Amino acid sequence: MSIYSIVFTSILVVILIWKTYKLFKNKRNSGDFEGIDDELVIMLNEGDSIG
Amino acid sequence: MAKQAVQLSKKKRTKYRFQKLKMCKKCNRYSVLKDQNCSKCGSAYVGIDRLVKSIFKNRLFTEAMWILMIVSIGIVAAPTVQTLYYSLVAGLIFCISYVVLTFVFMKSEFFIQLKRLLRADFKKIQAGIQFDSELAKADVKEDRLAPAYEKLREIGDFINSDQLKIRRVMVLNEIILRSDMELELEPLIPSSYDKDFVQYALEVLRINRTLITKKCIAYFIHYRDAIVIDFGMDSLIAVAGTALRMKLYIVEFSGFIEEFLEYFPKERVLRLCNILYSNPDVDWGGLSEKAKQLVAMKYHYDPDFKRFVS
Ligand SMILES: [Zn+2]
Repeated sequence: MSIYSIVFTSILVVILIWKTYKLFKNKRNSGDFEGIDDELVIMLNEGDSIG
Repeated sequence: MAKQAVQLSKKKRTKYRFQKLKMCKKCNRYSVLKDQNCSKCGSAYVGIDRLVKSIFKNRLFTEAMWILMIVSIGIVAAPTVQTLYYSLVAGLIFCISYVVLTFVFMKSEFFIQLKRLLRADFKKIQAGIQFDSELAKADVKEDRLAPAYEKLREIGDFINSDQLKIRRVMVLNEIILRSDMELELEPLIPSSYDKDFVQYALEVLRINRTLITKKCIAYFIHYRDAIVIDFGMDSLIAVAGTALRMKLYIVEFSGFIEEFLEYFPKERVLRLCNILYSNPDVDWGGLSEKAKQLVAMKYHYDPDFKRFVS
């Protein structure tokens, strides 16, 4: 196998690993939709400027 | 001022609150109201789900472009025919893996995208709701009470300030309430004493007693002195009467009920005695004793109370 093929393959593998890492991280950080609802309401009511 | 007879539409229900958010892409403004079209420019609103999906699609498209570019360069720049074939196969496998990964994690990616959007656009959302609130104010000013209330009701899903609650209550107090309206009471309880709220609560009590919940009774007890001054003792008697609806409430508010026992009509007393009689093992406090005294005094010769008189 040529050096070229090895470098090209390595680049693709690194991209895949990076992508998988990010996807896993996002999956771990994602909660449930109730959590989003609660966060939204808390954020909107924090300043209490709307009446 | 005479109250208005109006027709309130049913509330729009979504599984989650954020699903009510929508955006006018032309005005770049969010709204939580039921309207399908922007009240400023008339163009159709885009729901938050669709908004996130389109952002997500754009992101995937950009990624796909990058990937194709990298793979193409790898193929084009191959020095020999053999490496060219190798790059082609490697690129293909890479692309397939990328697509599979994207599909497997689609749900959590969508979720993260939604969260990011809400966080990033939070100020915009707030401003949008403020605008909705101004529209409701304008409706109230021009005496369009039903649309005003419907707007405030939608906003109330997101904003739980006392100010908004009171604005809703004040509109409701101008409307002839009917039992077929989807009335709410508990979500409108303010954090301090408010005369308008009590007026509304007493009106609701007349129409649909089941809306008088534990929290509401507790509110009446907490602010009883002010309520007696503004609305008289009868209002407290009526509220104490609604507490007889459930065994749970009777236990919780036995002291409060005890105070007004003698003012209750016969059927209420009968109902209370029935509950007390069939649950002798529950600790009713002084209520049980007081009820016995009342029956002995007032209903001694009443055949309906015969089984309670020992
Ligand atoms: Zn618009």
